[in-house]
Amino acid sequence: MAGEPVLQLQDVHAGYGEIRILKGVSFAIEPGTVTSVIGANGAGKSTLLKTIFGMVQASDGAIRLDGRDVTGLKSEERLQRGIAIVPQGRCNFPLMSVQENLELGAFIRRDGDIKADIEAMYGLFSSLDAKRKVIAGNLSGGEQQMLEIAMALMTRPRVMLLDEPSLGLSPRMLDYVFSSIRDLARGHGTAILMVEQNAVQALRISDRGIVIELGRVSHQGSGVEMLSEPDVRRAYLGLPADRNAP
Amino acid sequence: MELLLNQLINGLTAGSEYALIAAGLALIFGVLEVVNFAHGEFYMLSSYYLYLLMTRYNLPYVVAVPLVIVAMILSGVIFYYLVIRRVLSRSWQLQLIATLALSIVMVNTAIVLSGPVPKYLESPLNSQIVQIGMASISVQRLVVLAATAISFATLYAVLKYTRIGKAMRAVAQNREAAAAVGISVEKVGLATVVAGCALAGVAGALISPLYTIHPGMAALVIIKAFAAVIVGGFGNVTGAVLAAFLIGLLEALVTTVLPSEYADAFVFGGMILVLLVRPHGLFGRVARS
Repeated sequence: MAGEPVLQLQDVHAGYGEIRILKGVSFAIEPGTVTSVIGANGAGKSTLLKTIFGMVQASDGAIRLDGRDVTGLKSEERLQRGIAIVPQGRCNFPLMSVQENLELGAFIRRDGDIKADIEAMYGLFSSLDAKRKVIAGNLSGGEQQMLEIAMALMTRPRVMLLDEPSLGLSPRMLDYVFSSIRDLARGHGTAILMVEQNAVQALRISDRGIVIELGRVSHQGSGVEMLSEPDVRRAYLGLPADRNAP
Repeated sequence: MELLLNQLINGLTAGSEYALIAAGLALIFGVLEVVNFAHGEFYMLSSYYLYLLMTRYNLPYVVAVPLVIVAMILSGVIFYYLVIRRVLSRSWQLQLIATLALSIVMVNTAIVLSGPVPKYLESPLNSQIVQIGMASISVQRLVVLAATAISFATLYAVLKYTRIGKAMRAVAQNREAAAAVGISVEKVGLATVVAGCALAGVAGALISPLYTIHPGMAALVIIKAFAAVIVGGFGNVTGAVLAAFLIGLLEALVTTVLPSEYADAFVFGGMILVLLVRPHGLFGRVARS
């Protein structure tokens, strides 16, 4: 866990119009790690991801990517610099084929390696390989989730933001998605920041956990520490405070 | 037989007119989810551009038509920045009021500038007649059909193969996903509105020599175009175009056997019938994700 942070938030405030959602969020994440954000509904988890991507503008504070301030940049520019997002819910183009979706994932790129990268995605997600010409709307929920992660990877991100990657997945598919996420971070060096309702499982594969409470970071630590923190266990994981309790 | 062939050509010409306008409406709604109530007025505007170029500047028809399309593209850019971009992420009520207001402003500006009296334009192609079998058809009508086919082939190719076309389809299918892959909704919006205005321009430049030009000329046409958009499945461009031709042909068919006043009753009766059986239109999807 040593090294320079790839993404750093410093006292970030953001919201919608008059409504303040984030009230001074600060944390940093390192390359090749998985960080889970947990918290109650409405605590500001999705807003946090949208603010990092620039879909919501920060009203105060600073967001830095590789030490450079990106707070004032538009989403497209942040994507160019290496921040990708997979928003909550279905985030593909349902009437286009898997292949077309992956091509659109590389929309901001103009280099010649796009085809090779698409092939690499088929290597990474073999279930998509057999369905190149299938329209995305006809894939299973898990396959669509994989496709959306692959689309985000097409920009070769330094930081990938995942909003509820397990939403609507079967338990078996969920295991597969989570282990893929961990492998992606380890294998590609991508830093992954995800918001997840399945907090216990998410923390098990996470290097770090962050708890957002009323727009601020209330707890943070390693995934293991979070799983044994009594307050977190009771309030967010639905577990008894004492991990040795029956 | 001769009458039927003539009526077929008439139906296809009217269908072309509705289709060119309906395609723009469906495109703007499909991509941006904005119902452009001023769309018919762009058809009217392009007819006046043509009238101006041909009478004030004495340009020949074949020179004036491409200039009208250029003028419509520029008008589309102004329309986008002046109206659409400002209401793009606002409520539908605001969008409705904004485009409806523009429609009223355009009609009344036309009345102030040119008076309410209809104007006539003579295209040299109007009086050139070709014999197809037993039917005699004006070259102007054939030009309408050919230009409509070229317009839609171009639109199809742009949407299917170009970068901006793919971006337009992407925004239409999932705006949030489009934002996530770095597609600028603003640029796509500009391209969509410009394309819609250019199509309306093609309609105005081609059809107005067949009819008269007056400030309220869009009213009758836009209702048919809306019917086509609704029957085609709101936001489905292909559906709107096919439905527009169906409406044109149905009108021609009805007027062959009945007095022409009955045509509208059949068209809108047919629309109600389609909606009773298929509430999302002939080609509509049940839900937008």
